[in-house]
Amino acid sequence: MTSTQEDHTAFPPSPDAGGEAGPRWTLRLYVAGMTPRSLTAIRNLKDFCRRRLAGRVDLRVVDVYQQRGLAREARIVAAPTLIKVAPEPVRRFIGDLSRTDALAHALGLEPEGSP
Amino acid sequence: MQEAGELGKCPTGIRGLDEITGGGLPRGRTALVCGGPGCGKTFLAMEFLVHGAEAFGEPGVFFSFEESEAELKENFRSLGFDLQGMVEARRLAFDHVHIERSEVIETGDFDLEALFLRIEDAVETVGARRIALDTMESLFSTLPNETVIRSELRRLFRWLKEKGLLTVRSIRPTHLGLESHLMEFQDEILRLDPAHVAFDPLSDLINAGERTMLRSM
Repeated sequence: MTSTQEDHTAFPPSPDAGGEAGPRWTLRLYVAGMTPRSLTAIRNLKDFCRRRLAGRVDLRVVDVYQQRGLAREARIVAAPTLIKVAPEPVRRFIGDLSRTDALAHALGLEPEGSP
Repeated sequence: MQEAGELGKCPTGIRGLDEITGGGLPRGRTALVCGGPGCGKTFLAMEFLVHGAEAFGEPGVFFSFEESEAELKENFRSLGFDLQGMVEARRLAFDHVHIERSEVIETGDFDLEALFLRIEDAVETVGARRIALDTMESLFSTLPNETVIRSELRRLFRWLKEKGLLTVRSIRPTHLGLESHLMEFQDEILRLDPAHVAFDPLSDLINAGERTMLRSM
């Protein structure tokens, strides 16, 4: 279907990311095939990480069609599903991530646009 | 792929059920087993698979939306069913769908493709001809967006029909209202009435409760 069955992207530190000081996020995005909805979710998440979590995120995209068995293992029902693995508590974000405000809120980030 | 529309009914192997349904269930259609907690709807769904595998050589898949595989095996072991042995003989496959509402946050459009992939995987693992979906309507309370769930379940039932799978679903009576849009896929609705079902695992559950099971469609 596509070569990006597992896309492991550790974003390089941004100049103002504060190095080791910031929390390190572990995020896993599960998609079912490279559908338009999956691609939207991947794009939205990468944009979000670049803007808000640069240098502080370990992000991996998993296509459950390419890695069968992982849907069951990770208890995935809806696609796309983003799992915040760390820091705890574990949270599941269901949908194409077009509403990143919910994501920012759950990650404890300030709303975008605030001073 | 098995063609849909095989005429005639397939016996479930559960004597009372085959009697009141006039010979069993048609392939590609769904029997809905409706009853409150403790009525034996999980038992009936499992018995349907056990009989299918043992009497008709038809492997089955059990999708539980409540109890875990370990809990089910333990409960049924005390009733004399060796589900683990059936799994090892590749006559039965389990999956447990468990989502905590509190850990789910909606962020946009989604579908249930990942769940359907799990169902397809389980069906292929054992070459299943039968499937039991135990209180799948739990999805309505754990996932956001009822409209999406409804249309996705329709998609699932079309797929089950295409595959020619014999399907039993259990449902709680209070959730029947969520299902009105799915009735075109459902031939039989069996109501288990706790006031009348004498739950005796050593006899046939359906025979015990036969009088109380109403055929409504």
